[in-house]
Amino acid sequence: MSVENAPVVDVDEAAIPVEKKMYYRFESNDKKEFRVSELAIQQSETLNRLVEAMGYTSEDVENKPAIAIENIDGKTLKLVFQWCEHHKGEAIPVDDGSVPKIVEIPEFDAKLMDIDNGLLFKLIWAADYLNIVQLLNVSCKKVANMAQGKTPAQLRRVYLLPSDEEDEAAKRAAQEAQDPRAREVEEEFEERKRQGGNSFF
Amino acid sequence: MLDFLFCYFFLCKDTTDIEFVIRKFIRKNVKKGTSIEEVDKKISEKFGEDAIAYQELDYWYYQFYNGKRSLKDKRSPSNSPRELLDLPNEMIAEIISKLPISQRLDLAKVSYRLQGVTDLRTEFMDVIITDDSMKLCFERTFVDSVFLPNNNAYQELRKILNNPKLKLDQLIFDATTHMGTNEQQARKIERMLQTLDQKVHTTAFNTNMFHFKDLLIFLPFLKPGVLEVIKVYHSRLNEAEQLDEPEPFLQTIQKLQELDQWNQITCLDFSAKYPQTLVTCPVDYFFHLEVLWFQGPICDKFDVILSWITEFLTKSPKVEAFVARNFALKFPEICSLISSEIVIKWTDEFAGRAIFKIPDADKVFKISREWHDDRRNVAELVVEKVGAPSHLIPAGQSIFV
Repeated sequence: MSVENAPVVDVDEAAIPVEKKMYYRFESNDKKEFRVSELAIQQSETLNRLVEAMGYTSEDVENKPAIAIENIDGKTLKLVFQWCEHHKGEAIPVDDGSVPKIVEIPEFDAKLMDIDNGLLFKLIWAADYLNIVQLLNVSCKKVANMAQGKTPAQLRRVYLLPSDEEDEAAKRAAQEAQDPRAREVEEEFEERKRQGGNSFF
Repeated sequence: MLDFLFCYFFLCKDTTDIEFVIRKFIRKNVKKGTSIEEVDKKISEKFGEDAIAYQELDYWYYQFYNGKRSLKDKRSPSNSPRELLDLPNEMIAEIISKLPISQRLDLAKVSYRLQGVTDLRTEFMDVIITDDSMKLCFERTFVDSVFLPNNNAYQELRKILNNPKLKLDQLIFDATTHMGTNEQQARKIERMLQTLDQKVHTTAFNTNMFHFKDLLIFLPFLKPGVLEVIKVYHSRLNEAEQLDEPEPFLQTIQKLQELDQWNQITCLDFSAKYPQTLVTCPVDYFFHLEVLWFQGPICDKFDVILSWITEFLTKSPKVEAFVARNFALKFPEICSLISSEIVIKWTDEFAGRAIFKIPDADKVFKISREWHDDRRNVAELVVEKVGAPSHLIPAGQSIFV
């Protein structure tokens, strides 16, 4: 049977179930707009709850203003949503409270996080704020990995930690704030140390 | 626009030639694929140690890495890089929790704030004590470990054991010093344990090269109810056996009966140093145990020891298993010394299988011993109650590591 002779069947297009993907619009604090799929949003407990509470239809999503995320800039939010889109549909890990937590950084995440520390810390902050458990895990792991094989001096340099003197001053200030007698005890301890005993034990 | 120009001026006015040179140097190295650590090292060598702050290096490295070419700094003051310590404590704690404990200890040492947020939790700890230092191992493979000189080893150990969240599966005090002098080490540990604000949460507690009576020193500081397994062993058995000092074994057991920690354990694993003295104790001192292990070798007084074991198996209300390593006796002889009621199912002299029914107590035990794969040694002699939970005696393996 030729194509020309084939019976013509009217197709009611509305009757065919079409999988509709909804894309929400978000705006960073520097007015950059992002379109993020419904499934990707599920990676963020905070955003997922927010969109559920808003109950937007697909028309609302297009017509209403983008949802403002006021604490996060566009550069960071871009990374966050790239991560969410790549990992959409994946199970969200449950914290079993164990320490140390074993975390593997997948190749995509490693590439995404080839960024300077400033941006990386913002990413951690954003992952925590938006409650994206696995992004928080991998970004924290990336920062933790910087400590691998480092001497105390190198740790101070990499993490910009205060010197011993600054640290001692902070320790004293914290102790004094907690207990005004702490300083006296500390001095007595130092005095005893000077007088002989190397160690308490 | 004015703001922008002001910021630009503010940022650029102090930019010196050397900063441009260093940025150029970083860009060149990024292009060559050099790692950030290597670039850091090269800059120190070429321009001096304080030539550039690490955060600056980090910023420029990743700018060039991600395709930037310009050497001009376009950051605004409000956009300055955030540091680790800018993060809230809970996020810093989250970062530190991803590290092995030896590195968590290092970080806790370099900053007061990090010390406050560092969770020093671990599930396994082998405290290896030498004359002048201590090695803390946090994994059975010893990969995650730290060496500490004696002057601060006990303080560090105290920090870990004093963590209210600490939940150990296993704690081992392992002395490499001569056993004759280990009493001093035991006393040092006792002094440290006395300063703890809490009892140590551990499921299993092992001592190596300490005396059995030292359990009286250690056990009061472990959490009763949590502690299930005690193992007292001697990795240098010859040295342990050469000590003339008699072990006050019966007196020790009697004193241990007064401790909740002892009365609530379910498994006890003994060094070969003690089976001879064990038989001086009434069997009911061990009725709280589900599993009793003897290390080997056991080379003499078989009739006395096996008679004690028979009484224990027959009368103990909770016993699920008895295991002995290196029992230097043929399988049929072991069976006949335990009871004439035992039915041997199979034997090739040293290995074998048998059934031991105790009608009055309505208990049935399976007795077995296998050859190791190389057939040069027999495995443990295992007497296992029929219906005993399988996790107590995994096939051919010790439940203790």
